[in-house]
Amino acid sequence: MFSLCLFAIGCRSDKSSPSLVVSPLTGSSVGQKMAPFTARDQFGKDVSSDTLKGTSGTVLLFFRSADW
Amino acid sequence: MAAISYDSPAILKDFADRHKIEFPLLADPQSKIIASYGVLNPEATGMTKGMALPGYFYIDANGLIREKYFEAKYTDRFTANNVMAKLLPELAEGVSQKVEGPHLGLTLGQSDRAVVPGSRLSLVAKIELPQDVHVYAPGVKGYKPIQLEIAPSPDLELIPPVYPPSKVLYLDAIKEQVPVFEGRFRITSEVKMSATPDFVKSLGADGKTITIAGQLRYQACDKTTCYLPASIPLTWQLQMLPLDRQRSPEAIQHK
Repeated sequence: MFSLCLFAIGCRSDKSSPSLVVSPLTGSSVGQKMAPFTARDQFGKDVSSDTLKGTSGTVLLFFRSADW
Repeated sequence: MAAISYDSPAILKDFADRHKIEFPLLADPQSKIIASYGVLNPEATGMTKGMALPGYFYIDANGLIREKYFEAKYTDRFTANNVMAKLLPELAEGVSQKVEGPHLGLTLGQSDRAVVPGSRLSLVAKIELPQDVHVYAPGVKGYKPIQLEIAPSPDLELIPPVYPPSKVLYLDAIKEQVPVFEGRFRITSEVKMSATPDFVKSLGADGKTITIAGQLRYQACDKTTCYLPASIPLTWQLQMLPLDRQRSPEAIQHK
């Protein structure tokens, strides 16, 4: 189920996309503290970074869009 | 586990309903979270303004970033299973098949059964040697080291295989110290599937099955005998799926 869920996000067709080459050094650095946040999910529920923490850690996937 | 984008909750709900996604998809329409993680795409304009650069962070239970996976090109993506296999191999799903070969047990694995263009997945050779049998490791001089080779193909980009640390064995018969592998070990080779327009077009509406070929070359020895070098042909089957081109309902689309 895990792989199917994230597979769907990777399927997007990426139309009208800038041609930026992303460096592997993109984003916050390894060793940094995660930036706290709260955001609304697809069920209308507010989810905080604290509630996402699991005993094995958290995986955050940033993706371009679920629309296009 | 959570996924974050600059989409509205409505867009995420529509997408989640279509793909039956139950883990959190978090809306960041102001791109504040995206910016706080340093992944705001600075070149995005128009309806893409505010979007994230795609990739993964792994954060430990104490809130520290431990790993991250971002490709150099936005069209290239680590698959979720590949990331999980790196972080938590004991939880990784995958496909495996046993292969016959002289003097060793071999199981082939792959992180994903089906992927889309641009996906970076892993192929694995899991080897089990009988007691007192060793194979030579890369770096050995004068003997044939074990090598996992994936055949070049225009459908994919090869990434050099990763071998585990070897052990130094002293061979009394020849008075030499040599790097070897014994017991159980695995060799992992990642490949990145093509995302060229021609390749995407070749998938049509239903996708297609790709065969990835390779070889495992090695020379096995026990306490008294070195056997002839062996080469086992290998294949992995991969289902290439077309990209999802369905947009959200017009009323909630990015404009």
